Amino acid sequence: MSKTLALMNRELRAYFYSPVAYVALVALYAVLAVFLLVPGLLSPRGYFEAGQPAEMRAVFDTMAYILVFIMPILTMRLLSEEMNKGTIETLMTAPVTDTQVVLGKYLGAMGFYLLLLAPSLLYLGLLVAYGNPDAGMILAGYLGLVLIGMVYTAVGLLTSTCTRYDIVSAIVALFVLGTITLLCTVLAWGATALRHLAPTADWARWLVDRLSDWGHRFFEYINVAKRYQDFSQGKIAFDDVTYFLVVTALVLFITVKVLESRKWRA
Amino acid sequence: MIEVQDLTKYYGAFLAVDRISFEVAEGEVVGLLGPNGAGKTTAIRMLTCFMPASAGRATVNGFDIFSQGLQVRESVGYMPENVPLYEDMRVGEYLTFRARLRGLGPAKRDTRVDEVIQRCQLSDRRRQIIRTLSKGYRQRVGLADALLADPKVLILDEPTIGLDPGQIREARKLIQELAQRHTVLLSSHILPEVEQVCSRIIMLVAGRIVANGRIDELKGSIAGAGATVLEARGSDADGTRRALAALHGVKKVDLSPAGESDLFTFAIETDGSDVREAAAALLARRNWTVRDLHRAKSTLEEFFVQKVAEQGLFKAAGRR
Repeated sequence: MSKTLALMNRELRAYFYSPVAYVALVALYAVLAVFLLVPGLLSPRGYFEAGQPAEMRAVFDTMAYILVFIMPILTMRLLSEEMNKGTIETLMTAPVTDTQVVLGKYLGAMGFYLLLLAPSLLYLGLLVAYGNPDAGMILAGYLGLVLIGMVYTAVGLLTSTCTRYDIVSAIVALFVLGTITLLCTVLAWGATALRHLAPTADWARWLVDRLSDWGHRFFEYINVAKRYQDFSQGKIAFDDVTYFLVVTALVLFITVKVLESRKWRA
Repeated sequence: MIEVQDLTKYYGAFLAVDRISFEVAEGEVVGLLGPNGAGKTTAIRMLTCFMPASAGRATVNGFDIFSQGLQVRESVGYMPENVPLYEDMRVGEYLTFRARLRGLGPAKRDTRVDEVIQRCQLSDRRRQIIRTLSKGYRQRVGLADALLADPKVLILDEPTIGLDPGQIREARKLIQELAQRHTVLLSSHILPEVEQVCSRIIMLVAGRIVANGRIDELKGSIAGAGATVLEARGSDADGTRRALAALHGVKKVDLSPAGESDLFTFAIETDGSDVREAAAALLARRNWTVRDLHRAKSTLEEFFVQKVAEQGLFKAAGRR
């Protein structure tokens, strides 16, 4: 446990040794601010204008999508850099287990992720100062952000374990995260749109209806962002929480196995 | 301390280490010697549990490298080739981190870090960022790290590569001091270093052990060991060569011109007996003037080159 914490501590510090941490922080909140403050993007007159409901749903939803682009960059060097610079040799010849290494790296990245979320509390402060927000809904939203961040971080750590090139890791992670969020949203929408084909033959109409229905349900089911939206709407469902925890555990388990496999390959 | 039996490593189809067996007793300083690409680093990486062996077995400090990897790593201080370090950390910070990874408790950690920093003369670099350190200091940080847990076995891969002569001397001194408390296995292809530091060498060529023994024994075993070299001026060189060859104990004499018209070099191969006085007397009788007469000391370098050449594998050893 102490070794895991040592690894976590180092990983967390490493973020602040490089400009990556600060760039990510600025990028996330700059893009978020554009969405929230520019009138017409999320709401006709800007999200935080007088007269809008005192809630943060759009903050949460938008962040979940921006993080798809930011988390791969924050996780890409976790193990890729060790392999590229050769420090993996000093790391793995110290008396630490593969599980400790994976967990330490993961917790370090998660720690930074939580720090990354912290500035959004400013929005909350403003809402409390000038309005009367629903505490339950906002808590659920933050829980959702933490859970989806757990999945994003785990995926990024896995891709980083697979390659010594951090750019490759980032691109693959971006592709995977993009698929389970944005692409699934688009595909689910596309499946619904299939219905509009409305063929004339009865059997064809039946087939298209089924395809559209199943397709929609399938893509909604595997869509991480969709499940996450339950939280941002203030709903904490047991199956959603379980889903995020199980996916994270599974991805981390695969990561440990990939790290172990390094010893059996070549 | 270290026992190796038929350890073998394949990289795909390439045989990097071929059934090597050797032992290192407690307190010994053993040098793993060989040309580049001979399999030294591979052998060391297997012993430090960084990569598994394809076949064979080995124990370090009584622990099996295959099934007891964690205990092996606990009892070994390892400095990899080129000393990979976290560039962005400070020296003290890095060593504290490594001490935690090695399982040192909070109380012991700080005193040990202080001790190894003293030992490796890093006190004035404690707060420096590792990226800005010179090669010599990086090497010291690597060694300090290896010493942190006061391990029974130290395994150092090319500990002096890339250092300047002054630093090499310092490193050598440090290793000699360490030998009093630790069992040391170090790899190198720098011969004077091995000769001065190690009590025994194991020589690898193309993945196989071609020699294993004390340095003086090995030097004595090379062909032409103790040849007598004679440089003299005079006439009838071939007659003199035949007369020398007839001396008691002489096996063979080679004659070669030594630059000037009446100056010659004789290389006298003996059965081990000392023929210098007899040879001098002979030359005096034949009116030759002696310029130089000495027994050639065989060097580790000769041994090394001969062994590598014997294997006929200079080229094969060059590939990885």
